[in-house]
Amino acid sequence: MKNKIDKLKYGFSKEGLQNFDIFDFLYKYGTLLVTLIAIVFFSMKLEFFFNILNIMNILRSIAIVSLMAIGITISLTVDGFDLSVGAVAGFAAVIAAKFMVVWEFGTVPSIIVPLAAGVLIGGINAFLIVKIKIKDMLTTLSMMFIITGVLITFTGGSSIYNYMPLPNNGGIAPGLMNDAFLFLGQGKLFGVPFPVFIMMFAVIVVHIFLTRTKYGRYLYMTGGNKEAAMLSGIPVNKYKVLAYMLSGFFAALAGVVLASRLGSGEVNAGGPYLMDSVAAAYIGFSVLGAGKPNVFGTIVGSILMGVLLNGLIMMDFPYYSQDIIKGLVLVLALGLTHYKKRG
Amino acid sequence: MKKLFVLLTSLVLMLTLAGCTNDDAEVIADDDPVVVEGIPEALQGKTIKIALIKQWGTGTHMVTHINGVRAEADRYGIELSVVDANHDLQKMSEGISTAVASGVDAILISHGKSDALEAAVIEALEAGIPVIAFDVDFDIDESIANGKLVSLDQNDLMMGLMAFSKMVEEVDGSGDIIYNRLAGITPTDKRHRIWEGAIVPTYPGMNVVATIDQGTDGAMGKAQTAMEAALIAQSSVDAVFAVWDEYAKGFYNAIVASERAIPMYSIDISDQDLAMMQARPDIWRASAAVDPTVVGQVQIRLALLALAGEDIPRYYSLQPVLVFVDDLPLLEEKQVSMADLADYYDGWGSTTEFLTEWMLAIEESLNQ
Repeated sequence: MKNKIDKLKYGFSKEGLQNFDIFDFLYKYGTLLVTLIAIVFFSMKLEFFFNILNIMNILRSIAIVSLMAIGITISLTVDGFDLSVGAVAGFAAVIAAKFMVVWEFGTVPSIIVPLAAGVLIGGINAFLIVKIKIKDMLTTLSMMFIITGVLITFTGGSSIYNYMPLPNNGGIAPGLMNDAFLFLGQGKLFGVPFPVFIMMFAVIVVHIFLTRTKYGRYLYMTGGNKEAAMLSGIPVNKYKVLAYMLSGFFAALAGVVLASRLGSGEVNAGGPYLMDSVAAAYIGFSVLGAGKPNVFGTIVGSILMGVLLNGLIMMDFPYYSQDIIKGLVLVLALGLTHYKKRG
Repeated sequence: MKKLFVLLTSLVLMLTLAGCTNDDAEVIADDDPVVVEGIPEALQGKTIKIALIKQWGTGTHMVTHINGVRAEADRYGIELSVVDANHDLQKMSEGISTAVASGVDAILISHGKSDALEAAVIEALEAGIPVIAFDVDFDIDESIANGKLVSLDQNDLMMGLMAFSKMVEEVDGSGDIIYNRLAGITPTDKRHRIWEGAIVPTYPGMNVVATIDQGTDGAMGKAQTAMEAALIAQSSVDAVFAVWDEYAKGFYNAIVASERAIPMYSIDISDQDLAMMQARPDIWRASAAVDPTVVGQVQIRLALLALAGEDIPRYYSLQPVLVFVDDLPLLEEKQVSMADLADYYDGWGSTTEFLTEWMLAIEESLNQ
């Protein structure tokens, strides 16, 4: 217990410092080590893996997963779990596309409205969890079903794209996804894909928010020990609401970037990213032995996933073999770090 | 406060349920049996119920197919229910069993895997319900099938041949190809067989430098990411093949972003594909396809024929066309949609295959 308190206080355990051993080392650095091994392995195996273009490529490909994983991480800080991020991202993507292509609202509303929708859905999640007291996972699971259903109804199951024919012989969709909007997902700044900037910005802001501000600390306290947090006067319910709204926001941001990257609003395009985001957030627990949700760890987690995916595609692995290797590496990374934790 | 919530929640639930029953009531109200001259006795004076069970129902191609089935069903006053299994074979199999239990007259299937669905399909056939399966083949004994089972496809072998041949022609018989495989799906497996069995032995210069397979779920986004990686790994690529247009869309985006003009050949088409094709005719060169609307039309007609007790084929392949971008007008002249393709290719948009006099008589009677 003392160990645990120390860990909460200092971010590491005092005992661990006194008796250095290999498991302790792995506990802290295991995940980073696995990531590094994966990178070295692919670099030796593949001629084009470790070049700047491909590194940018990997970073771009993880931007969407990372943004969603940041949402999940924030929900984890209050001991919650937001399973609806994939659906919210898909929803935001089709709203953005519909606003742009069918209703011609222009770039700014096409970005702001989906984000607002994400925050709103987060708010509804929080309301159901805090007021009606449905368990987090069940609430967000239900929300996932509802939103996925609503978005397929909203689009009629078909994607939304430039020059699409409108139903009931309404002619061709009048609007276009303009260059400003497409820049979000496809543009480059100083040779770096723009989604990477969005991801980095989100990581830095959320990291500072969670570790350096009162709000962040209160979020962790709400998740760590709700009773204690309540007794020390923290309005835990308000912080839960905040966490879910932020989670919805980042999921929606992921969706907007996704729509821009695909150049169309694909039906339920966010769904397949959910499991990778969950994995990234949980890998994050183990990075540097944090033992709690943290954004730096999450980003390491999604880099690990991105590196594996990219390398395995380059090595011509079909998706089912990719899944096997992804699963094995996850077990390895988490096993290395959690083995010690039992003690 | 709490009581209010409970009250409100129950109210919402009740309204939702009420909404559902209302819908049903409307459908039943539509149902007024008419006796029409010339239509088969078996169909006389009854409202036919047909269930369409799809492995997945999203994406432009699938939606066009559903709309085709629906429009054709409406022509003959058929009550249609659609089950979208959302990529879940178990759900598909349950969908078929549920349809059998709820007493539908005929079952249409689209995609899925024979191993997973065979038991449910046998169940349906044994109950005397015709099964018209699109893009999934069942190896079921004729004693069970009893002339009530059709395996319908878009002639995937031919579509593969058309797309591959165009690719071979345009790269002059040899080149570095990024190939696309989607293992375990009946139609894409058939397309692959032509590549493996016919193209590769005939044109040894066709050199596959990378193969991409990312499954069916969220295919476009995954295909895009995969192609981005493949294009970095391969400095020399002469052509790209996409076995399914959802992949083609993702590949297209990745090729455009790479600022390389690599020609792409694919299978299946939708309005979205046509928009991309016309935007970059140097990239998306051709796609072999059957109009999904036609698939829907033929499925409904085959079901009606089976119900009328007439002979239906055990296997049937629809005639594909190769949509070649050079056949289409420039984007500045005209934005071509799926419906417009009928102007450029015969057999597109609608077909008279399996259309009988008595079907027209039913349609006529409904319009009166």
